[in-house]
Amino acid sequence: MATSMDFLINYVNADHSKATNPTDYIELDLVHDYLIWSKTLADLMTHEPTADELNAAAEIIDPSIAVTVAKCLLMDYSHDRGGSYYTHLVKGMAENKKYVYCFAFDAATATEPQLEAWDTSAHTTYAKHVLGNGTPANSMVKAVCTTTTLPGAGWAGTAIAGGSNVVLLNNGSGALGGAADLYCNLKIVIPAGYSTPAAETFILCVRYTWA
Amino acid sequence: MIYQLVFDNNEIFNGGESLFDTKWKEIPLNKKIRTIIYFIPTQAGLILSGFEKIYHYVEAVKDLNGIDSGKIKIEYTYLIIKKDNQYIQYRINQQSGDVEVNILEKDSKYIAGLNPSFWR
Repeated sequence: MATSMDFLINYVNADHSKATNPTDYIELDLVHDYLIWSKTLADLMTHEPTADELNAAAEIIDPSIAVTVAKCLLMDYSHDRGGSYYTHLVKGMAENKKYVYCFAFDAATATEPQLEAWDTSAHTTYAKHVLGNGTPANSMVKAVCTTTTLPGAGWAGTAIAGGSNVVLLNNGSGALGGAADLYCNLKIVIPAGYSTPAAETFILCVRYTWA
Repeated sequence: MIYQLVFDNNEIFNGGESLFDTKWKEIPLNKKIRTIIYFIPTQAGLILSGFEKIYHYVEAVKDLNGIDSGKIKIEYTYLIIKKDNQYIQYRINQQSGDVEVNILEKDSKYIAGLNPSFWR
């Protein structure tokens, strides 16, 4: 049978793996849940944030220094964790933390799974500003594999966009021999004085294989 | 059926009916494959023989957000054969049926990163 993959975020302690502390993680219901990148949006909101609230909480471009978007939050449609909360702060995002975003595979793969970013679900273009405006190396979305090691203080990561600028999720060690939890850390870094403010969405996806 | 195998002893093995259940891992390890007939959407089948060993996989993409979030989309399947000390990859587009043939470097990280238990 095909290998399947679940996507989870750590909302308690980014020093804890899913294997040792499974309750630190929320598995995303990918039909209803989503990630929000924001400067000031509150953790533990009791309603789904409105467009006005998202706009008011947006990160601000700095004229002289690159800005890392301060927060990533899970919008939890089922709001059934720890009370009736719709937003949960992703712990350890952009920090020197290992167990932040988790990809849980239930069986072996035929090649190494990889994380990608695209303009749309067609997976054909990467022209949005957040993805480097056509130049993948300029993508503002930075990712680093943390499956085996911490990313390091002030980690730079790989600018991900398109099919070439990707992050291998098994640290370059190839296909999975069996069920495994892989991890990465992510951040969005807006260049200093970036001239085109925008509210853009992009698609994060995982490419994986089975025999 | 995705594919059909003919072993050296003339026995036949039929692959799965779905790319989500290919039955590749059920191919006996102790039987040498003489020929594979690989059925491709909208195209004639691909027939390969004379190889030392063969590898097959299905490549899927799962979006983590957006309109197709959570759906598993199969874009390509792959056959890799080792023949005459060369690795030849057949990349099969599951929408168009187009087949791209690539000669791979035998010492490449890609080859080294394949799952050794899936070679037949």
